[in-house]
Amino acid sequence: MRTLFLLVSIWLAGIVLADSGGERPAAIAEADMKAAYIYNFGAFTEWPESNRISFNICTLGDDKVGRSLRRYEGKLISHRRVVVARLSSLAAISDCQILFIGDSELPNLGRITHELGQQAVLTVTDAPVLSQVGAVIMPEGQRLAFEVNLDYCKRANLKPQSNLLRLAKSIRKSD
Amino acid sequence: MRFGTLKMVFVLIGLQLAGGLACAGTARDLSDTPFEQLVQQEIVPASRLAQQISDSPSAVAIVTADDIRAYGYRTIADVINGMRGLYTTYDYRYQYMGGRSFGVPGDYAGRIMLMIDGYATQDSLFNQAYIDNSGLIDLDLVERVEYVPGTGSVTYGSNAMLGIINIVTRQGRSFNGTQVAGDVFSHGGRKERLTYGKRFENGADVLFSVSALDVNGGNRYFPAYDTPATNNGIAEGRDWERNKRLFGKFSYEGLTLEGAYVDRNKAVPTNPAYATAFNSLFAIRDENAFLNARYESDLGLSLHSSTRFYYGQYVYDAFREFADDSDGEKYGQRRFEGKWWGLDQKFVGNWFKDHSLVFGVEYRNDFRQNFRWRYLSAAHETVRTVQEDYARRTISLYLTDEIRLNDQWSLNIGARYDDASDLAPNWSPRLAAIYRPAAETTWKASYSEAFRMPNANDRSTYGAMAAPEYVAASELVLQHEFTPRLRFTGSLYRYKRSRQLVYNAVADDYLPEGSSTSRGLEVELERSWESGVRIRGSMAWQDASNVQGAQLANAPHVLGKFNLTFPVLADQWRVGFEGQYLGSRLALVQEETGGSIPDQKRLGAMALANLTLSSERKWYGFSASFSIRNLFDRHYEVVSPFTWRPASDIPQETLRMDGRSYWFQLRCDF
Repeated sequence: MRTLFLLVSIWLAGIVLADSGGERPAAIAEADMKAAYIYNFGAFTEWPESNRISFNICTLGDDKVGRSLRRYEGKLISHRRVVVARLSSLAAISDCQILFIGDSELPNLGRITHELGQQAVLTVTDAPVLSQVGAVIMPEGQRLAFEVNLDYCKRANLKPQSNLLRLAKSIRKSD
Repeated sequence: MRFGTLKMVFVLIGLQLAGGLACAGTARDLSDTPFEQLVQQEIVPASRLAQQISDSPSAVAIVTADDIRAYGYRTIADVINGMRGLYTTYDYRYQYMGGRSFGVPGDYAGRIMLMIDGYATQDSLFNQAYIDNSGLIDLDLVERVEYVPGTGSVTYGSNAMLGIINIVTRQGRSFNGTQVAGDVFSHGGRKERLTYGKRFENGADVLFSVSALDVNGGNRYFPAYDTPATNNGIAEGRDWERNKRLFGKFSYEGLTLEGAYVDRNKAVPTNPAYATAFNSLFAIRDENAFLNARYESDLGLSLHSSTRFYYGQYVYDAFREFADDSDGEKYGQRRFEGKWWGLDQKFVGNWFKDHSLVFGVEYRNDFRQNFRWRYLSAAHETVRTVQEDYARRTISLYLTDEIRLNDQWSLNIGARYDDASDLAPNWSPRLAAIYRPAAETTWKASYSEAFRMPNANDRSTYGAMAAPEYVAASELVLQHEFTPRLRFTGSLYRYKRSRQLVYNAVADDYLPEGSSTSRGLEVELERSWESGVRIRGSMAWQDASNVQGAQLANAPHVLGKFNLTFPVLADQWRVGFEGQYLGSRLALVQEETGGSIPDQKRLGAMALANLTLSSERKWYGFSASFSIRNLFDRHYEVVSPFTWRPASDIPQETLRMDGRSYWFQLRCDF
């Protein structure tokens, strides 16, 4: 019994030590990187004039990305303080500047776009539905890439800056 | 387990934690990295393994709908038996769960909470969570089961003292139509189910299901009754079981209405009471039902509200025949009835940077807790009736703050205050620290205190001595994802239970003066492949003692689980293999006869295997499953809850379980 215990503790130790000993740079979790992309979408977009005090980044149906976004709270985007809201319903989506829609809320995408209409809300997902949203984040090899729907941005009166579009994997534009 | 070894493990883990701390400073601050550099950065892909949804800082075990199908689980008890560090014990009436610091069948009720979509299902008389065919839900309707070991009183108050089983039901859209299923299984069993589920264009989701089960049961042999006067130990046709279940769920926008009903009738072949006659009809009936209405909404960006109203009821009926009717009482009838309702208003506030506040108030009214015993003569006329009534109102307040210190560290601090009409108020605090030195690694350390109120049955049995019982728990959890498809979970814990009721010979009564300690270590490795192969293996070591300081009965030192599932025949079918190891454990101390105290029997270690074949595809809407439980036909016994000696003078400290058994299910979707 005691020997068994000893073996397991050594195993446990091995697992952790073997992993923490490496010199490689700290890799970034997928959710953290998605949050970083979303924040940068905000920072590299020209937003229409508004008298709101806060810049609201919302998530719907993905708590992991919502948690990762919390580190950007209090930063400034177009002179407004970032507030992160993890929503559970569609009630307040019009108050968002950026709305990230996770997997579990994708069935409601039609209702979300209908409700938002042409309001200046940048919708983002990680599912391949670019035609219905402003931007899509997708894995590409060991990295994340993103696509921008310029038609959507135009309708919503959002102007992504050229240095954002330059980094995009592809851009959707009808003319 | 020696404490020295445990100490060493603690030291080892502490060292690793310190090592992790030392290199934590190297983590890069993402918010200051230019976007051009970010898009070049490699990422750690999100885990492809099932993730826990409860925010508890303990080592949660998860079973998904895919696992339920792959391993042919039919009851919550089957699910529990496949989970790390857990096991169940059956006494031909109910399945009782065993785990960290509890193993004796009588220790289970009232200390484990079973929730269905956020509603606590235990009855209000015994506070038992029903995990067998008397349970509220068909497993075909379950999306996932999470077991949260350890205390949950900080969130849920009484009854969540040693663990929470969290069941999430499927959405109507996952059926998208009508499904009928027919089962046949060993011991003359069959079951039928009809389910309809749909999601409508406007976003409304509907699920409705009805099922019926009927088991003939056959004959059972009990060595302790092997005398000519008691039919040579054979209970003839006294193991039948029937149940009926109804379930309905409707959700639209933030509103969810849900209700369930189960009526289970079972004959008990074991002769579970001293005074009753062996091989006579001993029938029990458990009826459970609930309605739960929840409305969730966002009141602005920083405040989320969840309002819940629930109503529940439970009825227990029992019929028994006494061996000795010289007092004119030949039959006994019991009818126990509990009814309750409650209202819960919860808020989640994100007003302050780096704080997430959860707070709320719950009111619960157990307005009916009625016990009625009726004794009948041989001619079925009422000789005597006894009745007892209880009630309780509880008001509770709770507050938890999740504090983000930096990218690596966060704290979770909370407390719940419960004030019941018949007891002194109680606080249940919890303090947890969560540390993520890297994207793949999470450490969680927690300390919490939980309690359990005496239930109506305790108040009836122990009178004025019925008192709350407490536990203080410390746990350290490590979760590490080697790859998105390979995860390690390790947990080290120590529970100290106090104010347990024990018999005091001087006072000649039960007094709340017992305390006991349990500690243990659990490790689990889980892996999946793109091809559909999934493996999970776990070991649990525990040292649980009883109030006398000796080893706790029915609590093995070692538990092992192994689960493997893979697709076969061009991915048309799936094989699920399960291996379960239960270390040796002690039976209950038997009542003395003739002045001698018998030795406590030790049951040997045992290993069981189950095999399931299930279809991955549908042909013209048809799909099927076939299971063999106890594959190698092992003869095994479990600890019996009975401690008296029948006339044969043979002790009944163990109960023999089934050998190999079969189950077949055919489903049709249209």
